[in-house]
Amino acid sequence: MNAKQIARVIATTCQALNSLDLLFTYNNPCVVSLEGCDRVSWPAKIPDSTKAPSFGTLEQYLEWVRNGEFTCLLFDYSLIRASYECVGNTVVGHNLLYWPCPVGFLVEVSCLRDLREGIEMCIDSPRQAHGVVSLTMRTPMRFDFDPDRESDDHPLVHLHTQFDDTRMSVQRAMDFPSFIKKVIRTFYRNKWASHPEIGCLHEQSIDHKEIQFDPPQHVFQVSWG
Amino acid sequence: MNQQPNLEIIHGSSRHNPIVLKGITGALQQAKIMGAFYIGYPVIASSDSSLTVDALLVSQTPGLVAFHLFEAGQNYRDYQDRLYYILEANLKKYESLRSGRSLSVPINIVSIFPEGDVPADADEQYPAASINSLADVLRNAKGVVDETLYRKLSAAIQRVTTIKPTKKRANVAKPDSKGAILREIEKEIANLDWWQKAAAIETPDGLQRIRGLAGSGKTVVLALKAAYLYTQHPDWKIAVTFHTRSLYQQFKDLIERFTLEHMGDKPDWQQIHIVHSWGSPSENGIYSIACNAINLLPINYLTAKSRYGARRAFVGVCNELAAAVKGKQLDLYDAMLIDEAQDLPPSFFQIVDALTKQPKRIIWAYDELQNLSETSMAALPDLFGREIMLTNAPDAPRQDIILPVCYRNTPWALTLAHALGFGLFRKPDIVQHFDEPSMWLDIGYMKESGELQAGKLVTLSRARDSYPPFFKKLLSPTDAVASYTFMSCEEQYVWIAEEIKRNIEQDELDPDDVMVVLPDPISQKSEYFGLRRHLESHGIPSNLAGITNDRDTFIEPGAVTISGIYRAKGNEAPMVYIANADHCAIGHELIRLRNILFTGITRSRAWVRLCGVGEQMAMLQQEIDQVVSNNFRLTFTVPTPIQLKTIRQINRDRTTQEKDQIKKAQKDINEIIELIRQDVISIDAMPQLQNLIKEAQRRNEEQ
Repeated sequence: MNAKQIARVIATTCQALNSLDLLFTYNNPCVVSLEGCDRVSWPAKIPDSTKAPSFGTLEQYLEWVRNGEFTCLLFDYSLIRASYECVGNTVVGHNLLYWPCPVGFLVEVSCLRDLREGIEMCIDSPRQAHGVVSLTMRTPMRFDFDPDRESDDHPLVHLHTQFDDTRMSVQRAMDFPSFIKKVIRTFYRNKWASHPEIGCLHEQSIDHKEIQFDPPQHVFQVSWG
Repeated sequence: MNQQPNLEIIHGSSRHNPIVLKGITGALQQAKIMGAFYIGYPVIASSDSSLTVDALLVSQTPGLVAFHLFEAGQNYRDYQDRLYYILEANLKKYESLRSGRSLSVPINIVSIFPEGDVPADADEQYPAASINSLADVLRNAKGVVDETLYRKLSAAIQRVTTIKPTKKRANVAKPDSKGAILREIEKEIANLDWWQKAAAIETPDGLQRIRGLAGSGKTVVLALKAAYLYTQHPDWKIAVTFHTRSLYQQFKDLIERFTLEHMGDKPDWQQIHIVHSWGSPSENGIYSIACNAINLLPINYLTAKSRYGARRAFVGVCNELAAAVKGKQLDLYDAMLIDEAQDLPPSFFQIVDALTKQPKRIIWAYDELQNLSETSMAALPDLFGREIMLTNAPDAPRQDIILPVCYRNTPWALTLAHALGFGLFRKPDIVQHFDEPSMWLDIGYMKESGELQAGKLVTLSRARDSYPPFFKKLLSPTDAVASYTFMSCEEQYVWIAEEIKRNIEQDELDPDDVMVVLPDPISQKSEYFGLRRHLESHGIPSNLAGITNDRDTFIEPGAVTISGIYRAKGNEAPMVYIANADHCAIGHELIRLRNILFTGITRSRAWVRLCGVGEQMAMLQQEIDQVVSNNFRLTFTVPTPIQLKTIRQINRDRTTQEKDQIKKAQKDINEIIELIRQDVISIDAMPQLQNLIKEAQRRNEEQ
């Protein structure tokens, strides 16, 4: 699949999730031509903002929400960011982030302002946030496919969780519908059960560099059938 | 309508003895001079500083006269020279006032001295007078004989400030496209009118209220007033506040521009504070400033919402704070200017009162009809929690100003907004009306026939001077206002998306010239995504204001703005689509529903398209047709006070308990209908149903 096709798949997947009331909001993906490749991502307002400078912090989550730097926000304000890099029909890299909302709201959130204010309260005055917002601080999970930087400590496909320099070897690169299905099925089992349509989201095969899944011993690794 | 009087006096801020100024005014009035007399205006920037003209007379006879009020130690001749050159240089900027390389308008300068102190060397070149000899001295002044030149001079003096259109619209190529029309409208709106100018300059030592319809220029007036006060009193602390966050940038740009023109320099933002009414942890607001002044931790929106509910969040925190500042004088500001005051609770005014130094220069502007059923906000004593009166004394700055001209809305859109907002042509009854029928005249309507009295038939139309002439020159009623009924929501969204595409591709409008208003706050998000899908299919980006973008942003360049009604308030766009207008056709709480429609229509600066679905839209369409077929004249019977009481009771806002009861009744009736359809219930066998039918018939007959 080329960049435009991937963008279309992301858009239709978001539309499908939205029609099931699983999204708070979403951004249409856009394709940007970079040197030697095309990048599919959310409409980035900050150049090269596909990676988090301070992985997993409230400030980072707030910045992305404030600037609309995401593919979609799930119904519980968990953040999804999907970015692919393609050369022709070949995928040469991806970032797929699922970041569970780091706070829980005890009041109704009706717009992004409420979400932003809740996070700001937790940062500025956690005591004042008591009774309105509570910190949950669940870790983000980011699946990267990064052939350019492949090394022993930097597996071709890997999962960042807890810390930015934690990389668990992952069996294979993922298309967006597969990623979403795994997120919903793993973390939102009730939704998965009540919306069988999610299971029908059409998974796409993406062409990419051959991956030898051969992680070193005694480290966590992620694989699926 | 207000009429411009023979000698209109505009009382600006002056450091001079008011008795002397009153004396000059009296002398001019006694001499039966016609024209405009500005006190403390204009303020003109010179190369190294700014100069306030003590007073300026603009008339045909004795002409343009600048008054210098002599102060001990001054060389009056030097002062007159300086004043002359600054005025000449300023007026020469206007091509219409030049003849070749010279100024075609003679400038007269007169120095005013105390009685008995008029210098003996005063002559025709350097005239000086006392109050008593002023009329004689003015006889020697050089007048402006040519009436056309006089009109141009008046316009130039009023138009010292020009607001440049924010968009250049360089992409407009077709001379008759909507983009080209819009460019013309924006050019025309760039000039302040006489009423706005006077309202901006006149500042009493105390309270001032500025009223006007949406789009009458209240924001511009407040910005100019803030800049004017700053140039006159650079040491004052001035606060400008508002409720719609997107107004911040507008205020900043306007104040900066005005100050630059008047002082030749940018304002010192340490002295002028442009702040939101509330504020947030990261930015100051009037509420948070007052909290800090008494060492109270400000409450943010989310917390307030959890305590008081979304609609009463700000009222709740202001009430708390007002109780805490009661009896305290915080004295942080010399003058405070409040825009959109109709959105702010009385307790906010009490906080402002505590923040403002004596003599309490608090100026507030509000939409006369933001809430259609109320002709005014809270009564003045309730607003400030103390007994006050606003007076318009003939020899003092006005405390109560009405801006009579509506610049934003076409006369056709405004008439339709009033007709639908009041439900004037709704069957069987209208929805709401002013307590005082003469209010129609105050808001720019004129009586064409009949009587504007309770129980009498009357025909009203927009008065010719209540809207700028360019609307009739550039637009037609059929294009300015249109309505469409669709069979389904989907059909409606497809049509709106295609029309917007046409607006962008053929009409030469930008995507951000278009706003779609969604009247139902509950379903707005799902409606937005329904419409967005069709816009995306044409490659048109959009945002749902405040929901899919940040709260401080209303219009994003390059994207169509879709907005719920509450976010749309205080904002405007050239082309406005109201989708699902049928939501406001019938229902309980009809006053609120019709106010939504009024607010939606009055967001439009040129074109408005009312769209809706099904039978309810067809009902609304009938009301619209009555207005259009009557050539935008409103013919109706003015309700009597008893009728008003009844319709207000029927259409009032409901309590939560009442809402629950209504919801339950609706659900039960739907179930009964379904059971009748399934032949489970027989109507004949249920006497309660017979009673219901009888009650409905009785009510119909009564009506």
